[in-house]
Amino acid sequence: MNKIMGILLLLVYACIATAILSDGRFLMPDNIQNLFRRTALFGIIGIGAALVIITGGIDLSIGSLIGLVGCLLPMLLAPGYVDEGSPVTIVSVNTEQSLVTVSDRAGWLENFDRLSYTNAQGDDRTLTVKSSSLAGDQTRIVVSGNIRAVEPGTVLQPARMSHMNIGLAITLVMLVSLGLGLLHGVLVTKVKLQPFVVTLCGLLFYRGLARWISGDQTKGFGAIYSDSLSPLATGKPVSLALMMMLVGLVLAGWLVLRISRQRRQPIVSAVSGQSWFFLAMAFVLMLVGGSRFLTVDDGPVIRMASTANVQVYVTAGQDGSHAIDLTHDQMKLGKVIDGELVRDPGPSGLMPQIFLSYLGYLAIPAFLWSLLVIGRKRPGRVVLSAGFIMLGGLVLVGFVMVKQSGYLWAGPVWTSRMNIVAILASLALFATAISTFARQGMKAAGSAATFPLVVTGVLGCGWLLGRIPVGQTLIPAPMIILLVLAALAIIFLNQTIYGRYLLALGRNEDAARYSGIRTDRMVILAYVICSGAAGVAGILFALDINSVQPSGHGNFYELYAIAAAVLGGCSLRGGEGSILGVIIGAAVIQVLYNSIILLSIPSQLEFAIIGLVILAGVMTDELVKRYRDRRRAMEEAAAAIARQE
Amino acid sequence: MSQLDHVPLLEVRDLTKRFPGVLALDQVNLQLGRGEVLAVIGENGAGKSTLMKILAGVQIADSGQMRIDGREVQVANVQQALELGISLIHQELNLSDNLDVGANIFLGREPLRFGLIDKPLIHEESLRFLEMVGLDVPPATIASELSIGRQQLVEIAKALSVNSRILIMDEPTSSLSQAEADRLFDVIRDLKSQGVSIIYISHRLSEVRELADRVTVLRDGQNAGDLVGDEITHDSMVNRMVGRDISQFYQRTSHPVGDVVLEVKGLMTPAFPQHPVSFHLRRGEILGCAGLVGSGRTEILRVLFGIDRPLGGSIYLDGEWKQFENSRDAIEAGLALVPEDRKSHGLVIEMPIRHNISLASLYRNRRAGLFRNGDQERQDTREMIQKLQIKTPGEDQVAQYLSGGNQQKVVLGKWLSLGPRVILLDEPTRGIDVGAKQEIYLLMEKLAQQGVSILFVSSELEEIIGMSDRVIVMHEGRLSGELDRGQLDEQSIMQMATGNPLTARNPGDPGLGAFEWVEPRED
Repeated sequence: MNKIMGILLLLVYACIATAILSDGRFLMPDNIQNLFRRTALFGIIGIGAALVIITGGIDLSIGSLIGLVGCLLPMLLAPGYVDEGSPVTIVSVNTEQSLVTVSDRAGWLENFDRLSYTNAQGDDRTLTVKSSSLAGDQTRIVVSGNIRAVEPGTVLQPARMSHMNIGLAITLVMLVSLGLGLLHGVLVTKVKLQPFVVTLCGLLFYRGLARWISGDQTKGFGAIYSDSLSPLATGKPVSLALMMMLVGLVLAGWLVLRISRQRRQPIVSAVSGQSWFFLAMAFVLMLVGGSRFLTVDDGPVIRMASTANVQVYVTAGQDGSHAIDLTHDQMKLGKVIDGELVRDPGPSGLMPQIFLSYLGYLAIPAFLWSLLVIGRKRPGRVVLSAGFIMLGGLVLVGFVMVKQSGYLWAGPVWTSRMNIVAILASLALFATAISTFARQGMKAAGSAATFPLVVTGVLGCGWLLGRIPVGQTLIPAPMIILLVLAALAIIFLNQTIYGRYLLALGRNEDAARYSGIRTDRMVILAYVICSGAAGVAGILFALDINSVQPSGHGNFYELYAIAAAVLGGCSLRGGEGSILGVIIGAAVIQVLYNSIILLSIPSQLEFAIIGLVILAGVMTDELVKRYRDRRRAMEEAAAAIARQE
Repeated sequence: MSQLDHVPLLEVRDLTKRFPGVLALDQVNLQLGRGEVLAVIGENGAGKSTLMKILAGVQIADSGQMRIDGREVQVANVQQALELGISLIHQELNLSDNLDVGANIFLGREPLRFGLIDKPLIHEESLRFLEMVGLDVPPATIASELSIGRQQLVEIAKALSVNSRILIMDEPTSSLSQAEADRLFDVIRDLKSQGVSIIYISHRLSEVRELADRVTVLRDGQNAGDLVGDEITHDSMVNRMVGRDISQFYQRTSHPVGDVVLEVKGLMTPAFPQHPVSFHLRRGEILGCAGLVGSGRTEILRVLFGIDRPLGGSIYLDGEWKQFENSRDAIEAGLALVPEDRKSHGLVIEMPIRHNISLASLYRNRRAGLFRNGDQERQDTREMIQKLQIKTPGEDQVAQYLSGGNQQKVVLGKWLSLGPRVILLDEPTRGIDVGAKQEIYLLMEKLAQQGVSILFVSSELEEIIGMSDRVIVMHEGRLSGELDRGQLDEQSIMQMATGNPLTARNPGDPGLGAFEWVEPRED
């Protein structure tokens, strides 16, 4: 977990630096959304790469596979047109409304269907239907295309658009990806070729194949799938606030379970200290997220104006909706009346109350936790809890004050009804959390030297989260796909026997085989998962870009994936790595990339900067490890000398 | 100290070296005179190899002094050791297989002509040194074409070519045939007469008795006494090495041996397909398997355990024909293998004890076909730590930081948590300290009493004789003999292991067998 702490701190510091240097542009919803989307896409391939790296192998073919999938999917889903019905004759043309009226009934025509005709020069041309409606015996058709080329009397042949079933196309593409992964695995384990060579050949072969099957023509989906398939990559289903709350809730629940399990063990490991740390983080997430997530319910967000030094966002722009100053911790500025912003006098004196009110959202898990604690009859903690209950009165006052002032969204309505119970419970939790954290926090932080780093990191995290308009920032769909895949990967790696097998064989394949593990199968599985992840990412990349260049799409993406894995703590020697680390690693690379753009650093330097940061990260890790080993040896020597005397 | 003659050529004082988890050397002293053959003996893990590596600059001592000709010297790397005239001839040969003999001898200090390697000069010079070791091969011979014994002589020639005054030989005869070993002894005597001092490390006490002027004994990283001249007898050496009366060491009680559990018929291993091997193992029996390194014992275990595919023959378990596609099949059938090389085959050394112990049983204890049973894992680990008395701060301690003996117990724990019926032990006491050795012997005895059958491969005749109910001996891939426990003695086994027919025992040499077999005690 220490490695993850390090890379997490790197991420937080990189974010803070970029946010400050870019004058807050880094924290704008558009930018954060973009960052999330790219992190998600690269995180997915990073997970795959990490599993292969854990076996001690490498996969260089990820980028080319993404290119191949990016060509294959649009080709499979390319629309076909079949003439249907008898030709119709144009009665009148309305160029301003892009409307043609035809003589027959053709009300079945739908969006993306076609009308073909022959123009005066004898060339075949088409118009694309947008919509159609019957008007007596005639049909009014809204079209796109060069409507000036047709005139009353032109004969149009209607054709219906058809395409392959979307599910089938995705299944085929995934089968190709998984099959290629299987091929890699078999070549590596059964034919005993080196992974580097196998996947290098893959890199070359799939790129060539992609260019050949596509005829080196740019491939895309057009607008046909913008409501069906594309939202997988371009959709933004939930707000960051809601996501934070959900992630916090899941994380906290899992950690509480884990800690209570660890407590039952006679040998308590140092890990529990870190569990406490992450538990605290989880609550911060819930706190900030929970307090703001309803804002998105006010409707889609639009940017209204950028006045003087203040970025102003309003929700939906409806009368009565709130305007928020993003540069001042989302303080409410006023309301929209008649489409104009009417400023409130200003809530400048309320910050402490606002902070206290956020504490109220520790509600449910805190309540459960306090029950657990009291059930254990630990007198010290109960006394502490009582102290915090008294503090709770103050929190309640703050909360009520904020509520009454009406300056902030203090959260969903139902929370206010259970706040009294919740706050009391949350305070009991804080009592235990703080008392334990004080004892174990140092252990969690590793050593006295890193403790200040961790503290500033946590504070910086709070600073950032306070400044991101989490209610208005939407989470792109790929991020949700990433989270689902990551959760599965984490369970796979840490909770299943096969995950343990992978880690063991990565360290020592012989010892694993001597322990009855069918190592070949496990290695093949890793390559299949890796190519599968590349397939999923390939689909998303293609949908996202919607214009796939067969020769360049996905180039070098494997290097981003490997870099994320290495930054995230995977050792190319194998047997080491964590999924969480890889995702954070992918995020670090994207933040660096983002900062290069935001800070107008020459983009030619992109690779140079990313390379340097990875080098620095890996080097620090190695030096810290060496320092720790030496210290350990010295401690042991001292202990042995003490024993002798 | 004024007279040079009274100053030993090499003197080592209070040398201490610590590795994570073990104190390898603890204030060790050593003296070596000119033209002297000093034998350094001790059990595996006594610190001999570490001491020699420090002398040769491969490792650096934590503290202590080294004097050559009375002057204090620092040996920080191999280069400095060579400059001081110290050469180490390693247990595993360090020749570059792909280069010729001459190139090997001058590796790293090739004479140049016009900036290019002067091959004719190398070959000419090499001849001189090859002659010194009595090796009659052209210097242009590729090293890999020579037998192991000859390669060893090339190493010695290489050492002589840098004007070494001190040659350290780390178990030079471990992979030599008797004839090759005899030749090596001649070379050693010859070198000695030329004034070269030799530090000779060996397990074979008869060789030591034959060659050494003086013997330094190490035990658990400490000096355990020096022996000179007539004091060098088998018993005195063993007593100092073991540090206790070894009749207490191997405790076997008699218990009835049951039916045949494992039967091997005409098994052909990939390494020695020309020699089919047949033997059987009974319930509750400890079957010793002796032989020199490379005699095909490990290969048989690998095939039995499903790591390698046999090229022929069959394996019966309880009379039932078995074919193991992989080691999981063998494990499911109730077999367990403690491999020879603990670090590369037995353990995932960077993983915690718990992960190592559960590695083989994860599959059996899995839940819903997929998930790890963490509780079972912890429970098994705790049970094994307790039962095998693994000395560790906790179950999450990384195996790397344990001592050799405790590492071996982790490997044993991995298998015992599965409750195997047949355990294949391949050199289970290699490189572990005396205390842990005895614990392993006790464990073997206990397992045998419980009816577990044990196939016990070892190169240490002493323990083979001490622990086995019956012994099979291998030589160059074939079974060269079988001895019942009444017939066990060091010399007979050695005869068979070196491929010689069994001859009458020399009455003057009682061998180890004389005190090896303890009559079963009735408790």
